[in-house]
Amino acid sequence: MVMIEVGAVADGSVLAGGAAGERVRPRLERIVLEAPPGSVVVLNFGDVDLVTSSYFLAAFAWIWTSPATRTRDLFPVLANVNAESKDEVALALDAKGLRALIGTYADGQLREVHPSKLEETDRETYRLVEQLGEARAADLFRTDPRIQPTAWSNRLNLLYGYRLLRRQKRGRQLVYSASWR
Amino acid sequence: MEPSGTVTLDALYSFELSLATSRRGTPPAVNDLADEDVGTAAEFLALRWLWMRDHRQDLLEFIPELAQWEALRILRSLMQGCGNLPPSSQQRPQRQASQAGRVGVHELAPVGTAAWEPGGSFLRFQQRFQVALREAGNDRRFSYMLAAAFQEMASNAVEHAGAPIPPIACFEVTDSEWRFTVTDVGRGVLSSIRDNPAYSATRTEKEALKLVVQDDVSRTGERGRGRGFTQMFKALVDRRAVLRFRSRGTTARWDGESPTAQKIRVEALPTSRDGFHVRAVGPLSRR
Repeated sequence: MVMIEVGAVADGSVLAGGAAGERVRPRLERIVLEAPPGSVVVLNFGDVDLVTSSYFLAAFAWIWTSPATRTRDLFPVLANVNAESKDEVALALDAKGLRALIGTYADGQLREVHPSKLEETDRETYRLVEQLGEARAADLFRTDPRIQPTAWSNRLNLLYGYRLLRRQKRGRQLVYSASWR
Repeated sequence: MEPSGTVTLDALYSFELSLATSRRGTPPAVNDLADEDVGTAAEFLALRWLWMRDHRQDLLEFIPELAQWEALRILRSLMQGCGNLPPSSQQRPQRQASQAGRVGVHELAPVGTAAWEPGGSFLRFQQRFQVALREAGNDRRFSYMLAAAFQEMASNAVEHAGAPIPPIACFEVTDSEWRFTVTDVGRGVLSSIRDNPAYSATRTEKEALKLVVQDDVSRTGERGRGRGFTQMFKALVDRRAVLRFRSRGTTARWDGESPTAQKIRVEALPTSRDGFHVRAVGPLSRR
């Protein structure tokens, strides 16, 4: 797990405006892209009073979409986002069609981690994977045979694309698990 | 030292002339400018100082003209700091009596692109505004919401004005009120918003001003952007404030509680000057 204290990196507790977000992005890129492959990257907003959607888009959205983070198989989690900022972050994620894991971080542990704004079918898929610990499309088909393995595979792939699940290749099969665990 | 960009005489004189003539159609005496214009006057002085610095003019010839203005104090601080914000050792804003007799904190600074770096001068400037609000008795939430609105306005000016010189940001916090302004001498909102194909048919500055104060309306058209004014309105929910936005020859005004984009009154001015100016003033708000 790589912990990024957002307030410290951005050097402030009020993060507003695209101009400021753009200026902090290079600093974030250096930190994030130094994370070992497969890492969970926790963006800890515990010392941030407010982050606006324009700042978030400029400074952070790339983490979910950048080829570099995908190549390195990095999985971001937003931690300790306060009530004031949650609406702004949700707006920013929605603007880019992104989904994120949101939770709390305290005493060295991530807790109450859940995905933001998922469609019901995607939410259910995520829940099942969490429940099973790890799952292949075939496992989910056994859970609910009304949905064909190909469809389950597509859902899993979508959640992997959202960086909500991680996956490993075992033999010829892809095995998925919650990305933050 | 903040980079000044290219300070053109035309841009400066245009700003100066329009400020001087906007109220009566003829240049008023220096002392006659109303309090409302003091913030703008201070910004004009900063622009003049930037021009004089770039053209190596002697500042002393302007001092008698400025002697009666509160803005003289600001200009002097600019002269002493060579345009820099106070040194980093001065982490807390200094309360002092202004020439108008108001005790408070008053700062003004150009907002060049370098100022937005983490730890940069504008972020420190905005933090001092926040500290000043808190020390004046405003609650923590209001202080950071207003600081965010201030930063969004300044970011707008940097990102969209297309001006030859940096915008100027100013704040003042006294025992009875707070205020901030951001001014640029760029192209104004009509020219800016037309960059977005969705608004390319916008014809007047008035139409453009009505558009840009609304949520999700931006020059780029990027979703999630265009929320700077919304941030201002959010900060002022259940709060009294006087807002004034000016784009070239059009102004939008609000005086009351809980401003919204729909309630703001937009009207034409008798004269026009380059750029965009936002001014927000409100009473001290203790909760």
